[in-house]
Amino acid sequence: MFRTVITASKTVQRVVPILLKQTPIGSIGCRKYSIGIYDYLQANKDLMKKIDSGKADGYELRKLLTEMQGADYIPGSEEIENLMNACRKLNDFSLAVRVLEAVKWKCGTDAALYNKLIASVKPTLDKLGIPTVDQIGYEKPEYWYPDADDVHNYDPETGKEL
Amino acid sequence: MLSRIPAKAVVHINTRALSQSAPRLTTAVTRVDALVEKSTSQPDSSKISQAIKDLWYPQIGNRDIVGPSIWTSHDYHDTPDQPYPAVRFAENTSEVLALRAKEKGDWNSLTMEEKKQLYRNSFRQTFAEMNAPTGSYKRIFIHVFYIVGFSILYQLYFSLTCVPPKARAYSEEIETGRMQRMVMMGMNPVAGLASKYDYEKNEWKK
Repeated sequence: MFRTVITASKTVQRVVPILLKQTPIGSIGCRKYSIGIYDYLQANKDLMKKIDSGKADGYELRKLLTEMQGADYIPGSEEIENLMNACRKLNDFSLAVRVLEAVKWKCGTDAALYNKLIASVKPTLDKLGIPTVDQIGYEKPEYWYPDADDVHNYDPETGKEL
Repeated sequence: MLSRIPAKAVVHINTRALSQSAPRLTTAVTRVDALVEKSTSQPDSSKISQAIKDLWYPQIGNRDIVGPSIWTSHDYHDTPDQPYPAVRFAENTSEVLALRAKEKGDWNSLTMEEKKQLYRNSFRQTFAEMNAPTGSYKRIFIHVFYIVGFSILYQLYFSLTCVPPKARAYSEEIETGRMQRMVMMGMNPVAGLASKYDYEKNEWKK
């Protein structure tokens, strides 16, 4: 009477471990083709730590800024504040203004985003004495220079119009 | 270009200026290290000896190297997508250095003229000046209109004066004669001219 039950339980005992083992039938190569998103905020924070401890200077700062400028990316208010503090720490006023200009250029026609960003970092700018692009008057061209590469319209030596 | 000299890179300006050909520069780097003391703020090029300047600064003059160059040489360019050139725009004259010393103080005490001068010492053009329209398209349009206008005049002149009259074979008389011959010879009978001619009545089909 119990023989069938015992036989069945023995079968279960043999089969279940095999089923649970989940040996792969075949293997498929799995590759990440996406390069992922570079974390500029984290890079910014790391660089700030380095600058504060004196291990990095304007060279590394400009390197990061150039990479940021090349990326499809607009820095946030926290990053801009960090960059302003870094410029203050390195005594580079012109770089601070240039960063603000670059942010404005990256915002492009999205004036609302730029105004929002500037409004959020305004206390830091006022504290450090950095004028915004509009305050320093660089939202419009201040001077005109002849283009050094333009040999068709201007004499490269004198700069006068041909 | 970006190969750094981490062990000996104490003062960034000189070691990085030399970083283009790092393997040959071990002696020069040690010499610079002996000359200058460590500082984490902006590089002070006045502490570099004249011999090294003559050796490595023939192109950029007495200018600070402040960042990595995107090209092989440390030169100045104003482009919106690479707005941080490797060298400062202004040479380190006495006025520039005096203003830079003042920059180390509080920036709130600087006047707007001094701030603008500080900017111009580092950079030649602002973004607005870089992106300002040049108006050179007008000159291009002038050239295009000149070429197109002269072409039209040339064509008109030749078609009115220099083109000879049509050949005799194109006169109406010979054209009808040719057509008549084609009809008589039965050319293109299915879809051609002869299919439209009634040969029994000897006239055109209606």
